[in-house]
Amino acid sequence: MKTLIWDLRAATLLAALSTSWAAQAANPVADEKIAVAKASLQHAEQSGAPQLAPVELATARDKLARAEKALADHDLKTASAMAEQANIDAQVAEASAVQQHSHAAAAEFDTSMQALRSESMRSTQPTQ
Amino acid sequence: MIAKVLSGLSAAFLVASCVSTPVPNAALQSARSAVQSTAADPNVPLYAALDLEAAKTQLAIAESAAMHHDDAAVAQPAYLASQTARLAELKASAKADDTRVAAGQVERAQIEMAARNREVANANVANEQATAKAAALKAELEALEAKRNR
Repeated sequence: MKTLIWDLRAATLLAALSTSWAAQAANPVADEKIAVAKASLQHAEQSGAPQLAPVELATARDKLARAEKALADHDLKTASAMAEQANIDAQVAEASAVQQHSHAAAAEFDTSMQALRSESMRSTQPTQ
Repeated sequence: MIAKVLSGLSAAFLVASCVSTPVPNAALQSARSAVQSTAADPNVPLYAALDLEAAKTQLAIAESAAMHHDDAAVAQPAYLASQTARLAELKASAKADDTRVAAGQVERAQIEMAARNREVANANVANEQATAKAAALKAELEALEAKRNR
């Protein structure tokens, strides 16, 4: 009788383990996509996107949260789709911040060059 | 009888017109427009060619799903195509600005060097003029002293 109980316990444990393993094995794609989206989001957060592209960044964060919720609900298709969207949205947020930064730097450079050219023109004029 | 035939024909035309003009998918149309606009940006092939290719690939997946009437499979690649196209445009714009500034630094250095050269030349001229004036004053003074001693 005791042996039977131990056998039952062992079988239950094995079943639980195999279920858990099956659930884990079914998720690697979604897991990886979520990990990639998280990395893109972290990169974007350090790039100036929180100040320069807050809307795009918020969209990416929202989609990552939806992906994680879908994964918890074992909705792998939605989890993958939302993670892919969060990833590209985070990249767009970062690129938008970088682009605004570059554009502002270029505009500042143009202004300084214009001043330098004007100064140069004045100083090459023959003095009366 | 004629009425029945006519109504049958009109129903057939209705079905045929439905088949020949598929319902336009807003996400797909938006993706097409985004990819087309990005491809037309002259900076994109220079600075973000890989992202443009990725956008085109996603658009092709969406187009294929639409062609096979798999509407559920259109929205995701269409969205990815639109956003990847936008990503390509943003990256290309940033790199174009950075490249322009880097090239402008050369012109700035040339202008600044020319200004310094002019300053040196002006200083030399001023120095020569001051030396000549000093020599003239000295000569004048010597002439006055010679006149007084006579």
